[in-house]
Amino acid sequence: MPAISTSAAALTPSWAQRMWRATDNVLTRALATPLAVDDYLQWFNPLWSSRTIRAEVVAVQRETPSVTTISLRPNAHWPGHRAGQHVLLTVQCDGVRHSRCFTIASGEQEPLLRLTIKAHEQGLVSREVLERMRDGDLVELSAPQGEFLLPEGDGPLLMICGGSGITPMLSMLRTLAAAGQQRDVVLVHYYSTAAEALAVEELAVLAAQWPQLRSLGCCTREAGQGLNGGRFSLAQLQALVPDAAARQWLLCGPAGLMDAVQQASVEAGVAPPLSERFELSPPTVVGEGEVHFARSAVSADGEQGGSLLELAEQAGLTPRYGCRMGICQACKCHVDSGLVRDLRTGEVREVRNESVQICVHAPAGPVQVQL
Amino acid sequence: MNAIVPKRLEGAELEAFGNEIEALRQEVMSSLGERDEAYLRRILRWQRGTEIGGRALLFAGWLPPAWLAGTALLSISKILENMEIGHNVMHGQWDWLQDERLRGDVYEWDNVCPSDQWRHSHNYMHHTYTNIVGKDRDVGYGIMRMSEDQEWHPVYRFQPLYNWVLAGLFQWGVALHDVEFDQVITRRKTLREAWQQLREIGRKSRRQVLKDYLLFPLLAGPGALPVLAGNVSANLVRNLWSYAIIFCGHFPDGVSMFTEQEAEGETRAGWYQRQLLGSSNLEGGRLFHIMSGHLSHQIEHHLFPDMPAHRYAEIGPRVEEICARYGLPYNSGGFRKQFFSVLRRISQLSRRPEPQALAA
Ligand code: FES
Repeated sequence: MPAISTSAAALTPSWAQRMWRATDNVLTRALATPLAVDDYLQWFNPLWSSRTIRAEVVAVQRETPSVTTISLRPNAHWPGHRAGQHVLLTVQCDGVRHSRCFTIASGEQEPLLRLTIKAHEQGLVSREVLERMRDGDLVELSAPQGEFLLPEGDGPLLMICGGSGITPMLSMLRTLAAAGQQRDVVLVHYYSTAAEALAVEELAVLAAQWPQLRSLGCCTREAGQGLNGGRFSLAQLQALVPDAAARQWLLCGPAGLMDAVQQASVEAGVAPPLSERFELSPPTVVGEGEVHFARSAVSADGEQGGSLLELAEQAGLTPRYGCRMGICQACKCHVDSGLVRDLRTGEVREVRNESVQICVHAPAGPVQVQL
Repeated sequence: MNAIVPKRLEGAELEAFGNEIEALRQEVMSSLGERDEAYLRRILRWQRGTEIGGRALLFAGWLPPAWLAGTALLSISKILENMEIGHNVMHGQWDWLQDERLRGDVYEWDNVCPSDQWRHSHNYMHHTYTNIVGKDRDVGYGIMRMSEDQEWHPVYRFQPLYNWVLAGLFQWGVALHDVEFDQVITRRKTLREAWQQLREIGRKSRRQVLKDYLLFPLLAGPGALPVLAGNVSANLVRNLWSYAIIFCGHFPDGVSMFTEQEAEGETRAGWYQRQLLGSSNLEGGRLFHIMSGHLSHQIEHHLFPDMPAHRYAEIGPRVEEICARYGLPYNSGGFRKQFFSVLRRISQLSRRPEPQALAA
């Protein structure tokens, strides 16, 4: 059986990619000075770019009340993905660009890239997708990334996932099915209510033509309807999948489920599951009211008052500045994350990967600055 | 020249004025969104479009109408890029979009002046020390006498003449601005620092000159000459236009200059007042405002340098209303009137001051 892998394609650029890259050369760069070649390419067609992966939204499909699947047609720079990988999606919300990570749901061979996205209460990007994304919208993508991949060979698998953690598993199943590989797979999928279950019909169809595929839905909040109720436990798993210990485990889902399954794998004495945490935790910051200057590895106590600029200077750093009153922008520094107070207005806001004028902002909680 | 010294607020009244201006700033800044982003994208599309169209037409430049149209489009593109895009982006007006290409601290504009030096001389020196004679280097740019408070020197006799040379070569003047030759002569700046800056200017201007005066003409083959002429003309048009708009911003009648003592220990409200009294608006239609990069709203720009400029027109009447309530002047006039008063100031101040004027 041939191993499924598109990694070779990802490494060697296609002829189309090479052609696009060639549009950005010494001559065109000089002609475009001081703008970039892309600035002109995009004037003709917003998808055109010498390097950037851009994609057009060609379908938006509501899966459940809170989950949406978007189908994307990427430009020539998309190198193809491997099942289980994720991608950084950049969309515009109210004019502002935001990037978030999402796992790819489509199979490796599919012409369109599909992302199945669950909207979270405070998820800026996921809400934008759910509420406002339309056919014809444009998004930007990173190259596919991640090492959560289908194990090589044809050993039996046990996929355990919760909520939209099913997306990388679906990508793997779709990839296997399209290649005609009937590997022995058990999929155990947890969801809160029946309405939130994803890809139920597709899984039923797949299982009908793929005898060695078993798909088990576990509803954690509602019982009945032939569903396996209750949250994950080792006992429940052993009842559902008697040969669980003989399989390679794959795991993706919310933190609670991940921890429980990892614990169970220890108890069952199986190898630690291959896993992917799909809730990316924000970059860690040090304790309350503390400012961490990441590049110089110095911390300062934010409680003592003063702007971030003053705190940095007191800590012996020499950041760039000009006016020291919020006019000239000379002091702008990248803040990884944290809570800052605008000293001009008193307004407190959360900052994530943003440039901030450190002369007119003070810490209002833990802050990590690139200084 | 206008000798009436406008009223200046002090104490509690000044702070109250400052608070109203600050509230206005917050109101606009918190309402930024999709509409603003769409506006900028539209301007960007127009700039790219006129650039491509202009360059393409100039390739057919041996046909006079094509040459004229091409030069006009290229001039428009260059003006839009320098004024409505470059200048404003470099002020950080669009940083909130989180678009790498529109970040104020990295944007490089279509001008021989390296953006980093511009950010220093303009964003910091000029916008912080606006119209403080001796500190704001935009008062006369180190070569002209634009305020009575500047000491007279015999060279200034010729300023009505070399003023036009500066206008035509404006981007080069802007490029050399941050080198501060006078500071090097008076040893307040080292020769090494100045040399570093000159090298940077050399690098940037080489790219600019190569592109406009060599690459594009060469690309046109036998049509090289009209392309060269078109590019020279477009740069000249852009220079004259930006010169005129910028000089109208701070030097017409009624605009105040400040001494260092006056600005000492100034609060934020005091800074707001100085920005107001030191700037002057130009009246005109929507297109005129766009083509001036909204520097026609110089007052609003100086009060709120990091606010997306297309909002200035919207809040102008409210700023004017606040000023009226506090009895502060809101300097504004048509382009012709203001520009004429600038030229008059240049010629008046070129003359040696009369002894009684000194006494007064
Ligand atoms: S130092 Fe000028 S904005 Fe901070």
